[in-house]
Amino acid sequence: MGASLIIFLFYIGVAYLIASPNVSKEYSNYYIKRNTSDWRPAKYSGSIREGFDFSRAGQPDFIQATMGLSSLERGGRWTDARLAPFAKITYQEPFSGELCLILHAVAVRAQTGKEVIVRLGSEEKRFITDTDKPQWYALDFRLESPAKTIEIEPSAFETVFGRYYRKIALGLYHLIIIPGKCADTEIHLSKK
Amino acid sequence: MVIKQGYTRVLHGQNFVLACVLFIASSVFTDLFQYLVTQAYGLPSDWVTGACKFDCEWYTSILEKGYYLEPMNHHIHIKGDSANWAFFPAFPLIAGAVASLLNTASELALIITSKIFLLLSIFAFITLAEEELGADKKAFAGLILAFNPYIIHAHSGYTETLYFFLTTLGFLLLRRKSWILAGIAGGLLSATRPVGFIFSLVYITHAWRLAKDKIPGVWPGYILGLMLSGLGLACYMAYLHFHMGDALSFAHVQIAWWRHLGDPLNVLMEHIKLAWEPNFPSLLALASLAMSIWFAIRRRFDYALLIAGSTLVPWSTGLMSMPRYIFWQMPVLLGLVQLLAKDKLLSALYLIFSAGMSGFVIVTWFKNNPFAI
Repeated sequence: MGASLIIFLFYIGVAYLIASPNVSKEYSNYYIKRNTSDWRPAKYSGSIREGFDFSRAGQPDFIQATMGLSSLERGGRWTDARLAPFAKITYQEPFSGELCLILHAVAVRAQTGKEVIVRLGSEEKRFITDTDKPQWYALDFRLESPAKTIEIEPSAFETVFGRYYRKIALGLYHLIIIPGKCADTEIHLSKK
Repeated sequence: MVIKQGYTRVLHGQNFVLACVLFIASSVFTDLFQYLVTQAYGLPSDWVTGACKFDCEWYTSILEKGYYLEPMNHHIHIKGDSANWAFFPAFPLIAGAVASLLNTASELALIITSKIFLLLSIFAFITLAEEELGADKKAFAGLILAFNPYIIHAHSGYTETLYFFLTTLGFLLLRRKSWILAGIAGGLLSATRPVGFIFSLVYITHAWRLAKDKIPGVWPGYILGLMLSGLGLACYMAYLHFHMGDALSFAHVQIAWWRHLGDPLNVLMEHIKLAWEPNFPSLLALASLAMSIWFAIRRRFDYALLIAGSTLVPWSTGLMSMPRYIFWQMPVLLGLVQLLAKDKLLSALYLIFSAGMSGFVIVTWFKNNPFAI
């Protein structure tokens, strides 16, 4: 019985090792928590004013990390509730003051006519996706304290199978943040 | 007693000769198909390069560089998120010993190791078929294995033959109530493939035999066998933790092969729904589950459990490689022997189908088609 007991104690030790991985946060998010599909994405030079173009491979250098976004497909990237209940985009530097957040996105049928919550730091805005065609949405934010994370939370999703099993809701094409109010910005959404 | 032992030796000798004949036939069949495919499609005819592909390349990386510290780019895994942690250590460890012993290149050593275990698998399988089903079934059992639809993996540096041999050996030892040796076979099995740990559950199903026999003093040996039956996996997990920090990296890295482990029940249910569409891997998985139920009805819970576990675990993460997993499950082939051997016409038809399909899989293999992976 002595040998059995020693092996049993070894199993307990291994169970402890399983519960306490010694890995980077990046590894943990991608492999263990599986809340992101980005593994060490290639970085390209870009400006916040030009925005985050989701149709390009990799990420602009002003982005620190993403969560809840499916892999790149033709045209953009889907939010994937299987990875995380909301898409989260973390910038390298924080924003502050009055900002206009412009989002170019398309909703799946299940999400059409339903609400999307957008959070920038502690501020929260909502809009309705009234069509399943690509649309531009502009949201005004006034930040009381600096924030560098944007969360986009749809209300409904569709389950799709392919190479990956996913729960998609919003197809993201472009995300731009500009200082000031949306009404004052020089970007005219209708021309896009 | 002496006569019985001598008779057993003769029988085993006969079985080994039969295994050698079937092994040679299987090798010639595969090599012939490889030759025909390379000639027909103008592919490079280098035997080793042609045979050592896909998983074999990953095993080669283990032999030559050891387990990775970090994920990296590897052919189709352009995201750089793949790593060789998914490939369990028993097979490359044995192949490493073969490479040292024969002083050969890693690829060739892996192929030789696969082939050695094919020979041993055929021998062990016909012995088990003889013991369980009768001597008249053993030749058919050997043929079913030697001309398995996915026989290419026995000649190409894959771990399937080692897995098959250890499974068969484990069941032979369980039949003999050699608990500690069966536990050691299980321990090696758990270090061979991720589903190898299911043998521990199979081992537990044999506890009723002990309870029924009521022989005093056998429980400590049984418990030691049980403890040993998962030791290979536990050692590999401990190694991974101290090597790269994550004891479960062999499971976590499956994401690089588009497999999800997050919510297996949900994935499984969705795949079961999809199985009703014409889809070869799903239909095969359903057939495998049907065989598991068939064994359960016949009160062979050990075989039923092994088939169910070895089908449901990979199925819950996706369908990739499912046909290979199923056709290299020993109880599945034993069930086929039981079902088909009663009718000579059915047996012949199955062998024609099996050999024909193995030829097709060999063609897809050399054309790098994912169907063969």
